[in-house]
Order: sequence, then structure tokens, then C-alpha cells
Amino acid sequence: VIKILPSILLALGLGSAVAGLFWPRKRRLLPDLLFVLSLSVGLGFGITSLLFFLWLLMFGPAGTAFALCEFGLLIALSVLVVLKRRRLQADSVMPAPLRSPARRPLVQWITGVVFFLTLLAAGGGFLWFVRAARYGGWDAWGIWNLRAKFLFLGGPFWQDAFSTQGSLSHRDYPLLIPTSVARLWSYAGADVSLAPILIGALFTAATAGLLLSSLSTLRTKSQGFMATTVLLANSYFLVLGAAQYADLPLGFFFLSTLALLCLYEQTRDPGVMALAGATAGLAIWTKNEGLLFLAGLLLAHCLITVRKGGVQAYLRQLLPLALGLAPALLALAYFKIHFPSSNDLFPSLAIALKMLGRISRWRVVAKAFAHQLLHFSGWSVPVIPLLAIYAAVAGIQWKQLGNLPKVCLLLLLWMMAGYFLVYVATPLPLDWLLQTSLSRLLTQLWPSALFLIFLFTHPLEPDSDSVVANSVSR
Amino acid sequence: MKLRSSLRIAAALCVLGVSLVSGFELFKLVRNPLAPDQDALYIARFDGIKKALPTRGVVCYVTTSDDSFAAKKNYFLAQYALAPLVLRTAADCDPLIGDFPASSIPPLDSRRFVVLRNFGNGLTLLGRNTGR
Repeated sequence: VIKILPSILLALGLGSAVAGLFWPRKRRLLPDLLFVLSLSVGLGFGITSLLFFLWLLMFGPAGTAFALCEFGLLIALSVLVVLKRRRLQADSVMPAPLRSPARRPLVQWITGVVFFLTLLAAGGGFLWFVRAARYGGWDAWGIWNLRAKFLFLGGPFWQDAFSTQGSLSHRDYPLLIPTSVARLWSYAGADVSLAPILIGALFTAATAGLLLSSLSTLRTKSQGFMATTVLLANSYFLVLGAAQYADLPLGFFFLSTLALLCLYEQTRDPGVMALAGATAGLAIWTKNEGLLFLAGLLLAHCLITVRKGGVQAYLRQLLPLALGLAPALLALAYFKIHFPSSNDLFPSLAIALKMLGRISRWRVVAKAFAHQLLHFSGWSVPVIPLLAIYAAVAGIQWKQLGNLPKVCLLLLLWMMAGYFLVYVATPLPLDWLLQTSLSRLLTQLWPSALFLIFLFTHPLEPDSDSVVANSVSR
Repeated sequence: MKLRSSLRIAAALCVLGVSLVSGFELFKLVRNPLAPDQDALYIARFDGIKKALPTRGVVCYVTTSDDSFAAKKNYFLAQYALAPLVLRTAADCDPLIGDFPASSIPPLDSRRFVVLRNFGNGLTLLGRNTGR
């Protein structure tokens, strides 16, 4: 732990510094600390993963020089953050800290206590799942950590990770998790199993932290508590985190992008849009599904923003989004060009079209989706119908929220439709594929779905400093 | 308005109650004793053979002959244990790793393969029998 800790702290420090640098000028960092810290997990591992990949390409295996380079970058960024925040304070751009209300509403206490109890159960559950399988699940030792072993233990021959001579599979999968694990091993000096476990734990905790903090910021604390309670009560979410799968980090980046888009709606600060671009970029650097997400984001953003605000408003938002997106997009483009490998889901367009023409496949996929929507997460009560009833009773606040939350909703529907079509179009055995992957794919979207459900539904307590309050005042 | 507010609170309590029940089920699960970590045991079997193999390059690997789930799992766990060595699931090169966890003697044609070293636990290092 002692050998891995500096590398984790460096990643979190770099993530916090980048989040702090682009955090809205009119918001103070301290009240948003959980939001910033949760974001810093994804941003930190994302940035260090890109640096590690760049270092491998330019200089080969990472050693002391790489660590010094990361440390230097952290110092430089921290200085920039301090200078920026001081200047903003001097210019009185930031409002004075709000005095918190003397009494918390009862509903906040109730939701808070239930959240805390569920958090305890989730923490115990996560540790139990980790102890049950130290090396994680199939994808962990078959894909992500296996690739990390090549990157770390391969030395100058790290490119054997993409060798076609053996029987390695999924060589086209992006590298955020493998490079993050290999980076931690480089600092530790050995391929210890604790490193991927800690990465899984941090992303699991950060997803919960981000859901709680973003909804507390954008709506109310009780909405944040309720959404996070439902998330943590889902044992499959914890199983995936403990299994060291990339689906949870991907879900984290989906949620980050959505939460940041909604924060932009509130603050109109281009820095937030740049952060949203960065998290969307890190989604494509995590798993191929990220590409579907990015395409949907660009499309939904263009459709709704141009229609509601005009081309100028769209371009004003697109520029910082593209700037944030650029580093990960360039890294992925380089990776895909220099390490070409076919994707097993789509060997050719002709086969995909042939599969799309088979009605029976549509029926099988629709049945599997319906079954998952009813039985998702293995709760004794079907959670999705329960949440639908809750939303119907609580009421939806549609108009007050502005345009970007609608972009988020459209994006989520796009992802569902996209996953559906991928299943229909792939030539892989359908029953096996649905059985082994559908619940994982839906878990990627689960934190984002909860975010949107509790963002759009009428809160139990009145909104304070929230999207609705700000949209109404505009 | 008051009815609507009461309904809203009742619906929220339902969601929280169901979450609590699910959390309690998780709590009950955690109290169960853990089964041995089979994947970790499988990976640990390769500690001995690793020292007898080159540190990098390609080696051949054979396991249970069919294309079953178990055979795939054996391969991926072996590949994880031996990386950065690249394993090739074919018997057309030397050295060849025989991974047959259920049997002490590899169920292979002795006219084609010779056992160079037996590491126990169903792991053997094999060579192709050239007849010389």
C-alpha cells in the first residue's frame, strides 16, 4: 500500500488540479469539495493514463524520470490553480460563502440516515466480493490486467500486448485501465494484485460520490441521498467494481459528462464545458462503447442547442467541449491507427446488414432487454418499474431545467438504442452475448439513469441553489 | 396539493424501504463464509513452470481438447499467470505447456509429444517428438 499510495495521490492531485483550474469562476471550491474530489478520480487516472501511454511511446518503460515528470506537472498545475482562485477572489467574482440554514428538513435527515446505512452495507459487500476473487472477474485477468502485465513486465517489448502470434483477444480495446494499472505497478515495482483492486474501489466510490454531490448541487441533498442509496443498494454495481471491470469507470465518465453538462446549464462557464469534453474523451479511452456515447453527445448537443439557441450558441459551447475532448481523442486515434485490430462485434458491414435483416434477432434482443428492465440488479422488487412509479407520483419538472439536461436524456436514450442495435447486428452467438454482457452494459448506464431520474423529478424539499432556481431566475 | 405531497413522500419512502431491504440482503451475504478463491489458486499453480520458461516470446499451450468454456478460462488464466510471455493455443511449437488440472499425466499422444518436465498439479512442459 505504501508503495502504491504516492502514485494514487499523484493521480488524485493532478485530477483535482485540473478540476480546480476549470471549475466555474463563480463557484467556490470548498462547498463543492465532494463534487471536485469525485471528478478528480476519473480525471486523475485519465490524465496519468494518457501520460503513461505517451511516455511508453516516446521513452519506453516508465521509471523515476516519469514519476518526477508527473510530480513537476502537479506542482505547476497547483500553482496555476492557486493563482487563478486568488485572482478571482481579489476580483470579487466569487460570492461570499453562504451561511447554511440552521435546521435541516426532516426529509434530509431520513434520506441521509438510509443512505448511510446502505453505504455501510455496500462497503462490507464490496470488501466481501474483493476477498472472494482477488484477481477480479474474467475481463480483469482476461483483458484489462493482462494487458497491464505486458505494459509493465514487458519492458522494451511492451508492444507484445498486441501480438498477433498468440491467442490474445480484444486487442482493439482502449487502454485507460491497462495503463492505469501498469502505472501503479511501475510505482510499486511489482505486479501486486492490490493495484487494480484499489482502482476498482476508487471508481466505485467516486461514482457514488459524484452522483450524491452533483444532485445535491444541482437539485437538493435529499435527491442526492435517494439516488445514491438506490445505486449502492444494487449489489451488481458493487460486484462489477470489485471484479475490476472497465464498465464501472466507463459509467463514471458517462455520469461525469452528464453532470458537467447540467452544471454548465447553471453556470455558463466554458471551463465546465471543457471538463465535460475531457470526461467524454476519457470515456472513449476506456471502452469502445465510449465512441457511441461521444457520437450521441455531439449529435444530441447539436440538435437541441442549435434548435433552441442558434448556431452561435452551439459553437460557443462546442469549442471548449472539443478542446477538452482533444487529448484523449488524439491518443485513441494514434492507438487505433498504430495498433490496428479487427473488432469481433463487427467483422464487416455486409454481415451487420445481414444480421439486421433477421426479424428473429430483433425479437430475442427485445425480450432480453424487457427481462433486464424488469429484473435489473436482482432486487426482490423490480427497481426500474418502482422508479417509474416514483417519478410519476413525484412529478417531472421538464420545462424549468433548460436545454442541456434534455441533451443528457436524449443521449441516454441514444445509448440504449445503440446497444440494442449492436446486439442485433453482431454475428456473435446472441444468447451467449446477451447473457454475458447485457446486465454489464445496463450497469454502465445505471448511474446516469439515476442522475436523470432524480434530476427531473420534483424534489421532496424545495430547491435552493439549483438548476431550477437558476433557470427560473434567468 | 397536500395529497400530492403525501403521495410524493409515500413513494419516496417506498424507494428507500426497498433499497434498505436490498442493503440488508447484502449485509446477510457478507456474513456467509467465503469459498476458496479458485482463480487465485489456478494462477498460483504456474509459479514453478514460470521459472523454466523464457521471459518473453511465444510458447505453445494445450489444455482440455474441446472448445469449452473451461478450456477458454484455463487459457486466459494461464496467459495472465505467464504474461508477458505470449501463449499460443496450438501444439505446433516448442516449448509446449500442457495444462490438464484434472490429470497428473497429460492425455496427449506420446508418439507426438515427450514430457520434458512434470511440475505436478497437472502442469507439464512438453516437447514435440521428432523421432530422433
